Amino acid sequence: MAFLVLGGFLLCGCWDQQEITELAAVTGLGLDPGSRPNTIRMSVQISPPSPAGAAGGVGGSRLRTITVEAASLGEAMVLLQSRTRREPFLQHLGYVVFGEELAKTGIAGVIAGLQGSATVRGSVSVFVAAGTAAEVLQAHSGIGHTPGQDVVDLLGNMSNAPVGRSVNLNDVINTLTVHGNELAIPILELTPLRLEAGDEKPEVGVGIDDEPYQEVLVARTALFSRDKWVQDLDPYLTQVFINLVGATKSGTRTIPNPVDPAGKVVVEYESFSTSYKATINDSRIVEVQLQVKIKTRILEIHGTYDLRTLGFDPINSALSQGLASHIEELVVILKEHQSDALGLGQMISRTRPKDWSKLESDWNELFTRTDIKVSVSAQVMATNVINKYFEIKR
Amino acid sequence: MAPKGKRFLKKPTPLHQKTRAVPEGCLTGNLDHDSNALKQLIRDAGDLEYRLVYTQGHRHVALFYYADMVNLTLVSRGIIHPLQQCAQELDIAHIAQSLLNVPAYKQARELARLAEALAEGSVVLLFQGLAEALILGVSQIEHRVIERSESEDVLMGPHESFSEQLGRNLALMRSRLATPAFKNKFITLGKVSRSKVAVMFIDGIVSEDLVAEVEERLLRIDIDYISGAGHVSELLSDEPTAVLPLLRITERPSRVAGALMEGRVVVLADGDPSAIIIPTFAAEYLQSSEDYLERPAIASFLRFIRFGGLIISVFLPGLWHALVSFHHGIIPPPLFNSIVAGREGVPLPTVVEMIVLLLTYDIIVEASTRMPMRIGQALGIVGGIILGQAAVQAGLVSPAMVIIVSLTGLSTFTQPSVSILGPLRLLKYPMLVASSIFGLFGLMWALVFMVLQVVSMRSFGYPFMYPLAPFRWRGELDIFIRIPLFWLSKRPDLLAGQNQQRMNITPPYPGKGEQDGQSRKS
Amino acid sequence: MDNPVRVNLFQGAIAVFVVTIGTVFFPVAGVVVPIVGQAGWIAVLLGFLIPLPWVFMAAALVRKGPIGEWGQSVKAWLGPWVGRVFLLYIAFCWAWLGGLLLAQGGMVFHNIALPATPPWIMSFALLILVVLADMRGVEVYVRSIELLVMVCLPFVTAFYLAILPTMQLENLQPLLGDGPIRLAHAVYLVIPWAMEGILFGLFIGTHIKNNKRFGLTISLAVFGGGAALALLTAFTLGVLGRGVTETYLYPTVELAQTARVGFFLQGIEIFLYPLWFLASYIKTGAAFVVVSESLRGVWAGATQPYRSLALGVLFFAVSQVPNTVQQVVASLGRVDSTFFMAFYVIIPALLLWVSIARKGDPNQSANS
Repeated sequence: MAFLVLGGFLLCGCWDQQEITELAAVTGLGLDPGSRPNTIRMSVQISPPSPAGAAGGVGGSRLRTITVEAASLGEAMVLLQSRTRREPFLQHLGYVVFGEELAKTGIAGVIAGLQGSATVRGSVSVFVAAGTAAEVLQAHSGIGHTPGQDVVDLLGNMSNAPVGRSVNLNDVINTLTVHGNELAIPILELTPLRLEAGDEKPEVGVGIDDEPYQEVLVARTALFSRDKWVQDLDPYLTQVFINLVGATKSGTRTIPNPVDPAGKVVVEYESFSTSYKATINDSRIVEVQLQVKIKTRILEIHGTYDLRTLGFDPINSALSQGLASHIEELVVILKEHQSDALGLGQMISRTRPKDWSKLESDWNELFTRTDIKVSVSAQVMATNVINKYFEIKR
Repeated sequence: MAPKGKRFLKKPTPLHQKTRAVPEGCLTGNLDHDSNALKQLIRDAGDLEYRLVYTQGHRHVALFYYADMVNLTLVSRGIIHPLQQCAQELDIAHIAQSLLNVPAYKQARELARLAEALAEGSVVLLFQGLAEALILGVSQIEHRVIERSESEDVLMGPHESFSEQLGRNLALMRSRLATPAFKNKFITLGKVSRSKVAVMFIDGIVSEDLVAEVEERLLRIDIDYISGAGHVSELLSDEPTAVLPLLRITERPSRVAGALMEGRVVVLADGDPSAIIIPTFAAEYLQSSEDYLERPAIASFLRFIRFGGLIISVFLPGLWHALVSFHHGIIPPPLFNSIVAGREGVPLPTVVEMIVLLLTYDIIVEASTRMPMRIGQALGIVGGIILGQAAVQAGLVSPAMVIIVSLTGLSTFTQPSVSILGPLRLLKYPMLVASSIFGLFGLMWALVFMVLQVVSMRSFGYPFMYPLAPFRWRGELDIFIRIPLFWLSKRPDLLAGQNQQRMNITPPYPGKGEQDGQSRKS
Repeated sequence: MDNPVRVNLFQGAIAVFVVTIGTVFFPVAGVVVPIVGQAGWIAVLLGFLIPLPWVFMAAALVRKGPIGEWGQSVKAWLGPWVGRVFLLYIAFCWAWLGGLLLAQGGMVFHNIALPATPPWIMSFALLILVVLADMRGVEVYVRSIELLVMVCLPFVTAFYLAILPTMQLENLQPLLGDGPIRLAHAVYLVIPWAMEGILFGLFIGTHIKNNKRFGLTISLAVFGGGAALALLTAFTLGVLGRGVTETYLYPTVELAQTARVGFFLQGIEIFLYPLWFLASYIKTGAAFVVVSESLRGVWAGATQPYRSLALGVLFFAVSQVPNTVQQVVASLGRVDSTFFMAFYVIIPALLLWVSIARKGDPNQSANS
C-alpha cells in the first residue's frame, strides 16, 4: 500500500516537480512599445540546446526569438506560454533590452513588472537598443557558446574595455528611487549587414530564419533623466564617462604630438582616480571641484619626440588639457539634459547628509546651475623600454 | 531500550539446570551398564569412538571420544599406554594426577555432564567398579590459521586478524596487552550451542558500571544457538532495529586493543572471529587504523575524502534530483544546456530513471560480492561499463545520470568500515524519495529527521554521536582531520572518567629536546 | 549509566545563539533599513547590546532556582500557583510566536522556491520534525541543534564568501543620515528579538548543571547572534543598496539571488534554502519545547506523546490563521512588540520579587 502511494508520488511528480526537458531557457528579453497605445511588445530569445551528440559549436547553435504583445509584462508572460512548446524559464535570463522608443517614453512601468516577477534575478543586466529590442535579440555573431550567450559574453568583456558600464536591474531600481543620481545605460547596436548584391549567403551560422550574421556591439551610452532616455554619449565621451564613474580604470587616449604637430602620441591608462569636493553656498549654489589623476604608459609616438631630452612634461600637460576639455564637454551635455549621471548628488548626500536635505527636493534643477570645476593631473609612468621612437628619413 | 528489543531479551533463566534435567541418572560403577547408558544417551553419533582397555591390574576401562576432535597421539601415548602398563590399584584421583599424561582433567558422575564433555572434544574414561568418570581435556580441533583480515584489510600496520577459536584469540590479545590488568570474564551462551563468550576489559581504565551492564545484558539473552559475536551484537544493542550499527564489529586484534585502552569493553565469542566493541561512537566509522600510521596532513586529506564520500553517497542522488527537477535556476546555464541535451528523448521521469539506475548499480554490487574473485571482476566490468554505455546509447538513461550514480556508488566504498556500507547503500533511497516530493525542502527535512534519529541513539547508554553532540573540541577535530598524536594525550572523557591521561608528551618533543640539550653542552 | 550527559553550558550557549539568530535573518534588513537607512546595522547592533543587562538578570534568576526542570525552577521562584500563572503566560507567548513561525517557515519556501506546493503542507512537514524533537526531550533537541549548526557552518561561510566580492562599501554611506530618533525607532523594533534569545536562555539555563559562568556565556551568545545579524544587514545594504533593500520583505533572499560571482556561482540561493529550513526548525522547535515544558510544569499529568501531539495540533491551528506572508510578518511584529517586550519589565520584577522573598532562604542559591 505504502509502495503504491509512494509510486504514485514518484510517477506523477509532486506539485513543483518539473522535468528539466519541459523548460525552455530564456537568455534574453526585449521590450518595445506595442502597436496599440499602452501595450508592450515582449520578445524573448530562446536557445534550445543542441541535440545530444552534436558538439556544441557554431554549427549546432540554434536561436528562436518569439514576440508577443500584451498590456503588461505579466500578461505577456502568460501569452508567451501559448507560443512556446516548452515553458519559458526566466531564471537564466542574462540581459534585458529596452527598445529605443520605450526607453524614450519611460521605463518605470516595465521595471516594476520585472521586479515583480519572482524568477527574474536582480543581477540581470540592462541595456537599451538603438532601434527596436526585437532586432537586437535576433542578431548573433556565431562566436558565443550559444547565440543567447553572445551578449552575456560581451558584458563580461566590458569590464576590461571602456565601452560601457554594466548596469543591472537592482542598479536601475536604486537609481530610480534615490535622489542625486541618474541612469546611464549602454546602448546595443547592430552592425550593418555586410551582404551585398550577388553575395552568397554564408554557409554556416545561418539562424533558423535564414538570417545572416549580424553582430551586436556596445559603444555608446544612453543618458537618462529619471526614467527617460534623453541623450546619447558618443563612444569617445562614453569612455570618459566610464572612467569618471570608476567602472573601469583602463582606456587609451590619443593626443597630438606636442612638439611635432604632424604626429601623435598614444597612451594607455595605468590608473584613473577621481575625487570630488563640493562646497555649497547660502543660495544653494553648489560648487564642485572635480579632480582627476591619471597615470599612463606611452604606447606609441608618431613623429619627432626624443624622450631623453624632452622628458614627459609636454606630454603630461597635453594629456591634462585634452582630458579636461573632454570632461567639460561631458559636463555640459549632462547639465543640458538635467541628467546627473555622475552621481554628484549622491556623493553630496553621502558625505554631507545635512546639506543634502536642503538640496534633495529640486536637485535636477540645481544640478544645471552647479559650477563644476575640472582639474586634471596626468603623469606618464612608463614607456615600455624605448628611449627614442623612430623617425622616417626626410 | 527500544520496546521492540525486549522480545529477544527475556529474564535470565538457569540454563545449566534445564539441560541437566533431561537425562536422568548417574554412574553406577558397573562398566557395561554405564557404557550402555552413555551410548544410549548419545545415540545416533556415528563418529563416537568407544574402546576398552585392560590394565595390567585387570581393571577394565572404557574410553569414549569423538574421532577428529581429540589429539590421537596424546590419547594413545598419554592415556591408553599408561593405562595398559598400570599394575597397581589406584583411586581415580591418583590415576589422573600421577598415571595419565594429559594437560587437563575433571571428575564427574552425571551421564549428561559426560555427554557434554564429549561434545566439547574431551576423552571420557569410565572405570569398572568406580561410580565416577574422568574427563580428559585432550581436544584438538582443526582451525583456520591466523590470516589477513579480508573485510578490514589495511596497507600498513598489523595485518593479523582473529580466527574462530576463542582461546587463540585471547592469546593474541594477551600478547598485545601484556598486563595483569587485562581481564576477561567467561559467560556461556546458547542452550544448545553452549558457546563461550569472553567479556574483555582493562581494569583501571574501564568504568565498572559498563562491565556490569554488558554482563547483565549478556545474561539476559535466552537463546538456543548463537553463531558468534555478530549474532549477539544485535541482541545487545540499545536499538536493535536501528539502521546504523550501534555496536561496532571488528576482527582486528589491534583495533580491539585500541578500544580496550580507551576504556571500552569488547565481547568475543567462540567460533567467530568478530569482536563487538562496546560502546561505539558514529565518528569511529570514519576513522581507519592506518590514519595514525600516516603523516597527519596526508591522513587528514584522506579523512576529508572519506567524509566527502560519506556525504556524496547519501545525499548526491537526492540533491541532484532536487536541482534537476525543482530548482533549475541554480544550475549554471551551460550545465543546464548540456543536461537538457542529454535528457532529450529519455522516456523515464528523472526520479524513476535514477531509482532504476541506483537499483541496477546495487544489483551489480551484490552480484559481484557473492562471486568468486575472477568472475566478480568480469561482472563488475560487464555491469558497470558495458551496461552503462549501452543504456546511454540506447537512450534509456541520460549520461549525466550515469555519472551521478557511479559517483554515488564509488563514494560508498571509500568508507573504511564494512558495517557502515550497508546503511549508506540504503540511506540514499529515502533521501531521494524525500527530495522527489519536496525538492531541497524535502532533502533538508530528511536531514533533520536523520539528525534527530542519530542524536537520540545511544550505544550502551553513551550518546552515539559523542564527539559531535555532545560536543568535544578535540574529539570533533579528530573526526575531520587527523590531529597530531601529542594532542591526543587524553582518552575520550566520557569513557574513562577517572584515568584520562594516555601519554605525557608535551612540547618540546623528545627528539627536539635532546638536540637542544646537546647544543647547549657543546 | 542511563544518562551520562545532560545539557552542558556550551550546548546551551550554542542553542541560545542559534535561536537568537533564528528566522530573523531573513527579514532583518527589511525591517530596519526602511526606517533608518544605512544605519540599519548599527540599529541591529544596538538592539542587541542594550538588552545585555537583562541576560545577567536572567542568569541571576537561574541561580536562585533548582537545576533540572524549567517548571520546577519557575515554581521555586514564584511558588506553585503564581508560578503556574507565569508558566501559562510564557506558554501563551511562545505558542503564538511558534505557530506564526511555523506558518512563516512554510510560506517562505512557498514564495521563494516551491510556488506550487501548498504552504500548509510544508508547515506540517516542519511540525512533524518539531513534535518528534519534543517527544525525545530537551536534551535531544539541544543536541540536534549542535549537530545542525555544524551542518550550517559550511553553508554560512560559503554564503558570505560568495557575497563578499559584490559588496560596495560606498552603499553604506551616509551612516547616520536619518537622525537619532529614527535610529531609536529601529532599535525599538530590534529589541524584542533579543528578548526571544534571553527567554530561551532563561529556559535552557534551568537545565544546565554548571552555571557559574552562565551569564557571561549567554550574553556572548545573544550578542554574537546580534552581531551576525548586524553583519548580514551591512552586507545586504552593501550589495543591494538602500533603494532595493527597502522594497523587499525578505532582502536576504534577494541578496542571494542577486549576487553573482563569476559565471558558475549564480545560484547562491542554494546556500540559503538549507539555512532557512534549519533556522525554521530550530526556532519553531525552541518555541515548541518551551511551551511543552511549561505545560508540564503547569500540569504534571500531561504525559509525553499526548502532550506533544496536542501541542502540535495547537501550533498547526495557529499557523493556519494568517493567509499571506505579509500578515505573518505583521503578526510576528505585534507579538514581539507586545508580549515579548513585556518581559523587559517582567524579568527585573521577577528578580526583585525572588530576591526579596527568598532572602531568608540561603539554601536555594547554595545549590548551584
